Amino acid sequence: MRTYGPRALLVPVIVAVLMILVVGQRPALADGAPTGQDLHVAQTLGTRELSVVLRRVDEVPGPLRVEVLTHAGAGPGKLVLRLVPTGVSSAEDDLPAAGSVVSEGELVLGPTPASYGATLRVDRPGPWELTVDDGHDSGRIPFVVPAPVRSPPDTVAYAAFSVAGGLLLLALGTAVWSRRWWLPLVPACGMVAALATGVTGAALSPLTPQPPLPGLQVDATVDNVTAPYTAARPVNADYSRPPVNMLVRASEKTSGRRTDLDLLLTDGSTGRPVEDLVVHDDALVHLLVVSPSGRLWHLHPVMTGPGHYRVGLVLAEPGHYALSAEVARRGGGVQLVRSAAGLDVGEGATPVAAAPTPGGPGPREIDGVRIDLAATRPSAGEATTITVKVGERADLQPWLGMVGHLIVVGPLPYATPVGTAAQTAPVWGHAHAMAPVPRGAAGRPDETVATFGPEVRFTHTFPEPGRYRLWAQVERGYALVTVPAVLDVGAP
Amino acid sequence: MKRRGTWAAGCAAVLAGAVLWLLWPGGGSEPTVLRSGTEHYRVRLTVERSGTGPVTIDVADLRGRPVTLRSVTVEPVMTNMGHALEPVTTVAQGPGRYRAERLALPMGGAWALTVLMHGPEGTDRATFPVLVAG
Repeated sequence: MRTYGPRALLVPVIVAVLMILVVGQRPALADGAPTGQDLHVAQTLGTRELSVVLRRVDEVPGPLRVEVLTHAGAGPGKLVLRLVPTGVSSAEDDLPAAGSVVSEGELVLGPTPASYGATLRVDRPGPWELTVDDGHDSGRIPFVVPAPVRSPPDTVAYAAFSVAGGLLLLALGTAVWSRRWWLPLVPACGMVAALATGVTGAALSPLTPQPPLPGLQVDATVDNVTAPYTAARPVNADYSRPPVNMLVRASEKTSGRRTDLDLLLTDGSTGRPVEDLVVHDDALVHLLVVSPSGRLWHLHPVMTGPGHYRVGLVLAEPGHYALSAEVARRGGGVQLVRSAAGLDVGEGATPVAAAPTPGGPGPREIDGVRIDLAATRPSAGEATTITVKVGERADLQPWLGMVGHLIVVGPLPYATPVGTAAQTAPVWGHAHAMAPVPRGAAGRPDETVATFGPEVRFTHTFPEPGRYRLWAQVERGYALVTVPAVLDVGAP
Repeated sequence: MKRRGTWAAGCAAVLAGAVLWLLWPGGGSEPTVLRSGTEHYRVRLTVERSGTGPVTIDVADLRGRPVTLRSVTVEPVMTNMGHALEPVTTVAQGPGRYRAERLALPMGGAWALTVLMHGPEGTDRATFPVLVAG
């Protein structure tokens, strides 16, 4: 029998340390870049404007935190949240079928604006829908639960480095215990080969072409979310889709009553319902409505079915309303869809006074807050900067991810009612003033951060001279402030 | 000498195995089976051959029992191309099984097969993305 003295202790310690280093690195879920991010979606549900935040999912099956932020004017109530998987899968499993509710939660909303949260549970990666139901209306929000994914070179690199570690242990073991001089060379050579493979895999990793993004570029399925590198890919890398047509139906056509506007979005080529809108600028649809006298609504209709979006509002004035919607389809950019017909509303029982024509640049007061609007010399074809100063303190909150929104419609004929003129106006613009994000900051400030402003600057190039209507929108005290104005743009 | 020969044979066997594994023809002829569901039904779609071939749809309720429907149709669309084909009507083949003998997807690329199930609960629709090799 041989004895090794202190070596007898040393070797197991080395082996144990190496085992911890090699095996202790859990390769399963921990590695790789963050697999998802928070999704912010604005929803005009019934009489409430809600900001729904779906926090990123780190583990599947696992929790999904949903937070709903209410705004000023939304009364108390109850919201029911339901989670439904919608993904097609080629694998047979014991999970509930797609289309069935797998998790449910309830939020009791208080009378003041606040954030209310519930933790739901997702049981698989792939496409899902969150339904937000207030008992009267309900909206569906599509989203994708990502899976931890590693590219093939990464997989090879991880496996090869693990094997190299194992072979290193083996080489050490054989070097200590074997009587044959050549035996440790076998695992040592294997280790060198494994290291070479690992280094090659790691070097190739950044050069591997990325698969199309499920949900953003191609229709998401459980398969292409779970294994995007092995899922079949379209031969064509142009993911764009045909433009959208919008039909608008109103449940009421007399003024002063609550009206449900139904938007039917259809594919410009096939006529089929558009089922692939993606969230852009924190909403599925940004609907702009201009009233006969120039009031503006900026709403976020909720999805009620394939290509079917709904929003409720009170059309208080009789006359013609002009509408447009900003949407983004999967695989393509944002498009502006203008309702070619608009909406005619007859006179109801209680006629409402028309909004007065707003002034041009200069001071004004809205809801007790002093607002100063200034513009550099507006000239067609040149960038014009419009500055809106709201109050005196930096207490603006980002709305839809931006500090400010500026809606521009024009040029408008002088004598025509604004709604009618906006219907045929050549320009409908939507400029943004972005929140400065510190370099390197992960994520972005949400609505609870009230530190922006008081000056908000928009730069827009007006293509034609004439009179434009502007509406600057900011959020303050969880309420939307809309500043209407008129701007005369001169010839270049 | 004998030991060297054994080593060489072992290495050759490993190498041959690796080459075979790499060059083994991938299965392209198996049917594509996709599962999805709606509010009322579980749906399984089987496309026998990529391109032109029979398509089978199995419809069950949420407990897995086969469902008899009024009619089941398949609408093939290439969404990116803005290209729709005429809907294919299926024939009932047994409890919960509907089959169309010929579903032609004449172009390679990304197709979406929307299955419309007309039943007592109204019309349910499930869309299956299918990729046809170019």
